Amino acid sequence: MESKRTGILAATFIALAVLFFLFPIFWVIVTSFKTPGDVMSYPPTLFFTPTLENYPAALERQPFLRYLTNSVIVTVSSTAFTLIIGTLAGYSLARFQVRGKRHITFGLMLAKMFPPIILVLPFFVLLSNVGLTNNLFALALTYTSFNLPFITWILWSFFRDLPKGLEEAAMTDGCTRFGAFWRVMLPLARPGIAVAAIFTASISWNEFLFALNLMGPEHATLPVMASNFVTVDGILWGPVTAVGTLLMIPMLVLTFSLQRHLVAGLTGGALK
Amino acid sequence: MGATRRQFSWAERVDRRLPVLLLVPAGALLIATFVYPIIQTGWMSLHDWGVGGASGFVGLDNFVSAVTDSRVQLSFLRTALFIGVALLLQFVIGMALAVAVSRMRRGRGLVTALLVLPMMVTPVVVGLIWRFIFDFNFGILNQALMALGAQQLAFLSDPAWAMPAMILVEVWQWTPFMFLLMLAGITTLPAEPFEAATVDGANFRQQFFLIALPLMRPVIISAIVLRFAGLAKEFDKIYVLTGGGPGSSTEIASLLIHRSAFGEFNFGYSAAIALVLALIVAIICWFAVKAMYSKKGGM
Repeated sequence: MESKRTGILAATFIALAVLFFLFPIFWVIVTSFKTPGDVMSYPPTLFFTPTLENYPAALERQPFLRYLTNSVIVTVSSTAFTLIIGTLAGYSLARFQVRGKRHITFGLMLAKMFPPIILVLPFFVLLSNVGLTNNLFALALTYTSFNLPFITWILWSFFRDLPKGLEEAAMTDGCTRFGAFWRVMLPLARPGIAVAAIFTASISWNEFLFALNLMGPEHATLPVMASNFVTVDGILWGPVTAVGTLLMIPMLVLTFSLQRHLVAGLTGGALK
Repeated sequence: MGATRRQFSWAERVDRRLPVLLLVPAGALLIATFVYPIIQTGWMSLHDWGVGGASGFVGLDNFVSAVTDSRVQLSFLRTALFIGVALLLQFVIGMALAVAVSRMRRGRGLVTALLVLPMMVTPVVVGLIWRFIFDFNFGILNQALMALGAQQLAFLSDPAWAMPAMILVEVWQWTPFMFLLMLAGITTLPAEPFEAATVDGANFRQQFFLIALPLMRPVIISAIVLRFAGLAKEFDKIYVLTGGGPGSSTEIASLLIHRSAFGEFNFGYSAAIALVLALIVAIICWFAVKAMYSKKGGM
């Protein structure tokens, strides 16, 4: 009896939680297909004739394609930089007796926790002085720097768990150390690299603070574009929800298609 | 013959130094992007520094005014309140959800996949979503209040409601993270102590507080430390939702630093506040990471 009652309680709790965590997303997506009249109607309608008019309206207000291109350039290049540098460092920490290793990994964890707001101003001054504000690769490099500590950490823990014997076998067969790393270890670490790639890509795709302050309007990214919808003359909820939906789609697809990796990465960083 | 030998010895030399060589790119980048900016910030904080650059050395004046400025003090207290309340709520709700979901026989994967969605949404978009929900006229929350015959609430422009609203949004986006970690912690708990406790007649509450919680200590510490760091970084959502307002009722430290630099162009002053924040966060993180390390038994 007791366990049946707690079972019902638990199920109700889970149902309410799912409702709370999903409803806002659902509501924004639904609203993006409403006409302005339906958006403003009271009581709110759940049954309405869907329209696509908010999407072109949203895209006309801002040069969406340019922002999309900027976002893709920054995301792809910072992910590539981070993975290359992070893989090398993670492998080195996992396999060699580097002096001060404990301090290095400790420092990585500290760096991961450092609030980026403290770095914005000096970066702004630095980039202004060398004329690199409005340079997308400079922005990608700043993303690389704050993604790197955690990515190195993740890759270090993946490499550490790979059996050591494989490299030694490769080296007795005439591989150099680097060759053993490149041809044997790298392919084995592919799942870890996938987790790391998802992480850097999503952080770069979502990043707002640096893009807002280091890049001019021509070189801003999608989150900056989305935030622009708020400050202009009142808020038109139709186009705003359309933009929100457009930005959510890649992340929702990513979540569902790569859920296993995501959970592994999120918990791996904390549970290893 | 000579060429191949030279090549070989070159490769050999690279190989011998490989451990350090592999760390060089990461080390160089991290020094360039962490050490340099902190030195630069320190330098700026000692000057009266505006848009045009430094206009005079002022020593520690910026720090003295920052520490004695009631706006700065309030902002730091507000940050502590925001982090403390959000962290507590995320932990309690996340843990409760994890316990409930861990007892599900079917559909655990689906529920987990659905519950993690909020933390995958771009923070700026989270801000937009909740601005819409909180909207005075068209927001679903106020429409629900009207349907119940209650007064509409200006969630984002009433100083009494703005901070609770921020905390609610933060709880919405990041409780799923706590839930994931706690669920992972629960599913890796060994079964034996609980079987023994059941035989001895321990009820659920006793088993949870006396067995599960102590066993999960490492995961709990990690989760709290990681969420603390995340909360200390918060900027995007509040920037979109209230911009620190109304007045300065949601102006947490990151927004204050941003406003004084890019709104008021008081770079030197902003740098001083940033350094004070950096010092506080660094001290807390130092102990936090130490705590994470010690439970892992030295890595």
